[in-house]
Amino acid sequence: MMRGLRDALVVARFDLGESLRSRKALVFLALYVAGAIAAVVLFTEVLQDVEEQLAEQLLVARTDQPGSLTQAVMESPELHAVLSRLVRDDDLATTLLSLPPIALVYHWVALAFAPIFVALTSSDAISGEVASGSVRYALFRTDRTAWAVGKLLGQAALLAVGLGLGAIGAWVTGYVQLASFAPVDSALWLARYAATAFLFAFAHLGLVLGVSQLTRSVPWSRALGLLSLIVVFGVHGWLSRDSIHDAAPTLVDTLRQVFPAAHRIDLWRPGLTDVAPAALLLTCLGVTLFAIGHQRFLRRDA
Amino acid sequence: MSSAYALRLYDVRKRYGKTVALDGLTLDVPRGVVMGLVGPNGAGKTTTFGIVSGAVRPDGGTVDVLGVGPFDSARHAGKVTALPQDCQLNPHSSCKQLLTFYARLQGVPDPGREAARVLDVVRLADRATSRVRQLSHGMKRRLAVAQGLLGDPALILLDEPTGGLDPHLVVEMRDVLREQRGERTLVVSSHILSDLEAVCDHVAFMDRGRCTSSGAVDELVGRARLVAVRLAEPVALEDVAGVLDGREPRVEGDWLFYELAEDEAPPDAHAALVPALVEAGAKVVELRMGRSLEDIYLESRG
Repeated sequence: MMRGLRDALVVARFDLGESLRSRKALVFLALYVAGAIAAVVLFTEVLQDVEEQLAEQLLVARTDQPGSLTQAVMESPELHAVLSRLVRDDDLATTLLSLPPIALVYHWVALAFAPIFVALTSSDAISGEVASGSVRYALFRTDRTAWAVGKLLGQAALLAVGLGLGAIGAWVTGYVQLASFAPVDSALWLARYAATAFLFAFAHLGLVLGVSQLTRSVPWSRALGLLSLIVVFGVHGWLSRDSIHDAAPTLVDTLRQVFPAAHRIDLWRPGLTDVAPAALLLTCLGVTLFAIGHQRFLRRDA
Repeated sequence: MSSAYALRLYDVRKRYGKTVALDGLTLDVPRGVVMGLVGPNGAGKTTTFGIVSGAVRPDGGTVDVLGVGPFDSARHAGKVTALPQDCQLNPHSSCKQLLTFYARLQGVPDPGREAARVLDVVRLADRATSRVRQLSHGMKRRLAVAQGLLGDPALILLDEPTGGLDPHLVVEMRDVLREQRGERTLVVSSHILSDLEAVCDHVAFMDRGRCTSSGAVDELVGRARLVAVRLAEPVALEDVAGVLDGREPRVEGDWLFYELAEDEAPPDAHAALVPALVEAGAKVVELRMGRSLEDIYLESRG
């Protein structure tokens, strides 16, 4: 057991290094940071427009830098209404409007794009090594489970690097662009939301790496990885329709628990005890989906 | 671990779909020998290596590696290493990083130093910091051989170790393999029979997933008693029969073969017989003990 854990950590460390040295991962990491920054920039521009309109209504002077009237915007009933519809929870909407807006924008972007980032960077993490044969240099040195878990941990570490860099990019952009930017509060909430976005993406990473163990074809594993994400989001969306839910509420509510998207709203909640069940379920989902694919990998030729 | 055999395969079978790769392969490899595995493409050599090193699952039969049963990383990690054929090394790390990773995974006490040692053995010390993707084909091959020499394995499996190497590198590689002789058991497959003849003390011929014959090279080629004399032009057997009386001479093309008697041994026997052959009209251009492995192989193929 200890030897297996040690080997998994050795593989994870090497895999992260190998990924960071590859151009593909670097491009995706850069895209991820650019996406986070672009979202914050877009947010500040929208905020500036809203503030200009608000300044006209309140008959106060306009400012060149957005964020001077952030508090007024965040307290506006229109924004509250929009957010309430998005999270389907009035109390949660009220709580979110008291948090640093940069952290909210970052979290929204991270939850939306991290699964895609995972599919694009990690779907061939295992199948690629089986296809190239490089796995054969490792499998007489450690067992298959330790190697595959090492790959999972390595790709999870790569994901954490992407989300961390995105959070840093969002913080720097907010610091530069917003007048009423709370550096410490924003940093804390960005870190907190980076962690929950990681958990959400980890469930999808488990799915993608589970699929990656089913085939030795890189194109197939990429296609199946993306397809599995589409299916997971699509089926969850279908189950979430009122007409489906009303037909068999208990069954549908139970079924939805196995889809990561069902736990997305809980990840927004500020209290750690509120987030814990979703965090636990998402981690279990990721591990279970990975383990299902691993059963096939254990029995096949590498 | 007390078995006299490093490797025992009995009635091992493996199919890939409709293709039969191994059809009841039975093979014994004594401890401490360098065994050559010879056979045409598709004979099952690579599949055999895959099964022995745990990458390929056999359909049936018995595999005993180092006297403790079939390959199991818990029992064999660090004791068995392999050079798989046509398997790419992870491309983005440096040579030393890659070998250090393998050594660490293998449980070698000082992985960095061990990586430097084997890089020196395969004459790649000056490329330690080069990325694997920047190496030439021959250098990658030598790096792949280097990873097989890490640590202190009892059994090393080398699938075509000299494939794609320059002639002078082939000679160097032969020296590297010769240095391992007696230290551990090596099983080497190659299409270049002169390479195998130069380094192997045992050989096994494979065809269509079976071992057709095997044994000590000296016995198979008749190195102890059989004298092979190449002549500038063919000679009639009756012209030399008198000189070689009682030594069962035979002529095959421009080669004359005869067996030394029990009480005869080179070089004294050569000193007595060769001048007599020349005197009888034979134009001797080459003299050696035993037939070539190539002849034996071609004979075994019919």
